[in-house]
Amino acid sequence: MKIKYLLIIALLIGGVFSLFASTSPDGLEKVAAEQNFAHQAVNFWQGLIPDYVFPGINNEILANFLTGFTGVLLVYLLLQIISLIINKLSQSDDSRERYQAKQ
Amino acid sequence: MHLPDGFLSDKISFGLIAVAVGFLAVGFSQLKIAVAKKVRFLKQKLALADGVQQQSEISQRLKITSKGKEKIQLMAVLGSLIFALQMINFPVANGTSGHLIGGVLAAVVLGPWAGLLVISAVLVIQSLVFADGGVIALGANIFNMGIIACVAVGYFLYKKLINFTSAKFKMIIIGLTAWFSVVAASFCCALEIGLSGTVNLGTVTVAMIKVHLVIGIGEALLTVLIIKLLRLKLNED
Repeated sequence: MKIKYLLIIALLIGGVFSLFASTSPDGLEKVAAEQNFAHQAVNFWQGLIPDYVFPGINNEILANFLTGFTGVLLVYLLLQIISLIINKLSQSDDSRERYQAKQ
Repeated sequence: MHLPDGFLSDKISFGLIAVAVGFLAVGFSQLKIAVAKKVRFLKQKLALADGVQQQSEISQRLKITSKGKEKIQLMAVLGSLIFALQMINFPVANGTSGHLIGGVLAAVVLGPWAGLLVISAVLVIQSLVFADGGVIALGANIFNMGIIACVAVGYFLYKKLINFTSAKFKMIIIGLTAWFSVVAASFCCALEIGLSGTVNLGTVTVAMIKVHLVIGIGEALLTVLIIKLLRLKLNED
């Protein structure tokens, strides 16, 4: 399937379908609760969007949409940075060679 | 099975951060080889100050191929898709839920190293932006869901199994490895918690594997469904 459609599907799933996700604890959380070590979890870092609830938005549907949208786009951008890094590396290879050539 | 901070001992957390960084470095250099090639180009130097002097030499530089560009695009989009799918918790027995990990999905579509980078990118955003999975536990999460589920099971085990069977059963093998990847990741997760001394190793291992034997069925169905529905091309090498 075309790549742009896949991105639209990802945005739809993350922004809209995720409203219908189960809120039950996941496998690890369940085991941690049953075996009494859930309380050992510590939060050094609260995150920018803690617990997938977009801060400052009262409307549940809108907050969920913004959360999914932001997450999907951030993953997309983080992975796109790979091509920037590879391009950057190739430029520094080039300048190193130029430096060696000068000597 | 995103481990929060506090479940693992410092020794195990930091040890697994080192392992994760090592694997990511290998993954990045492997990806660089796959998407970029060295191109030769002519470098010319002119110095015309005193007398005419001209030098030229052939130099090399990395350039991302057009196929490589497509691959990075696909990585970014599949990463977004896996992130979105990980938001969808599906209910399993007695008040428990599970969600896709996507390790096998990433490995069969992108290959092991690009797959590892994609899963790691998802985990990094989840941890740093959504506080889903600890920051110090990020190494352990990358180990369980990236190195074990994606590289070890999604690539190496899948490759071994596919060699024994005919192409007709490809989807069945993908489903089986997807199921097993979740069980293997949960086993590693339990091992890390147990060895950290947080809770008894035996009981946590049995409980974690039991739950994930069921959650893995969801992983298997979703992985096959997504590949079929979205007509994703499988990685050939």
